[in-house]
Amino acid sequence: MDEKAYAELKAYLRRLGWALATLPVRDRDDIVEETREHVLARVEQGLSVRETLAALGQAETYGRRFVDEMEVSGALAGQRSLASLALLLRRAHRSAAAALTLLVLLVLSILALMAIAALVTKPFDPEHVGLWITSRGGLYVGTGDGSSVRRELLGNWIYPAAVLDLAAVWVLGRRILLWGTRRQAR
Amino acid sequence: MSPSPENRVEARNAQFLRGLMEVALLRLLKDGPEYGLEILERLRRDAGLNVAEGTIYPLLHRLEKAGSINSEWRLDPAGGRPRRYYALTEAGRAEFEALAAEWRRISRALNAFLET
Repeated sequence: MDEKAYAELKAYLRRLGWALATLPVRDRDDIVEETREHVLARVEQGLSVRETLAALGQAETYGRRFVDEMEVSGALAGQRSLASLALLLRRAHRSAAAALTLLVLLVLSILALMAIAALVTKPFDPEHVGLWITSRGGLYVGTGDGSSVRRELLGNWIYPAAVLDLAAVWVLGRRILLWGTRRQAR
Repeated sequence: MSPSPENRVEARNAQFLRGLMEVALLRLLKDGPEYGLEILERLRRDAGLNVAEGTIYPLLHRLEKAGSINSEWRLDPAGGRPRRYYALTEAGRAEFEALAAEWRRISRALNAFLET
């Protein structure tokens, strides 16, 4: 390998290392070393350094693939909700599945917050806190006055209903999060 | 501007290939440990998959992180060059069996459907 080709390879590996900056040092070093060995093996087969590097793609793009793949497997392997959420937030601008998952999780979070709000405030104001239906058929959890335009539906049944709601949100939320994370692996 | 039909087909093929590559890779490692370049060549030659050079190593690293395969650096007996060899784990073997069974089921059903 001539000096120019060697310099080209060195520059590529340096840029690849930068692109892998978010990975643990050991993973980063392994990937850079493996890439070097791959290029040298291709050169032994008769290809040029330039051709081999072109086949791998730009160092930044190539490095990004590792980061993407390892983020997904890290989130899936540990089944960690926070890691999955962080992954989906980073991908939402370029993945419809990630954006959809976040949207559904947002709706579920609102439902959970409503249940928590009812559980916390109902004991202090049992007459006015509840699940209300308006004369136009609209449902909401909050405070009302029992006038002719709205009616409370659940009474004290709001406690088990809120607990059930929280359990359903938890189970459904975990499943949707897992689905969204798995979609990122495809 | 919408992508050309060729680009759309290419993008679809890349997506399609991604899932196939994983099952083919696990199958290949069932035969014994291999290093990246040999895996790439065999996926192209034996499995008939048009695998892009830059896709194989990220996939190998993902599968290793997921516990389906493991790896170790060894000196290549022929050239004395260090190579990273990948091997199937027990979890990877079970994963392969499940993926292969699913693939056979889907391909049977799809083939029958395409013939109608």
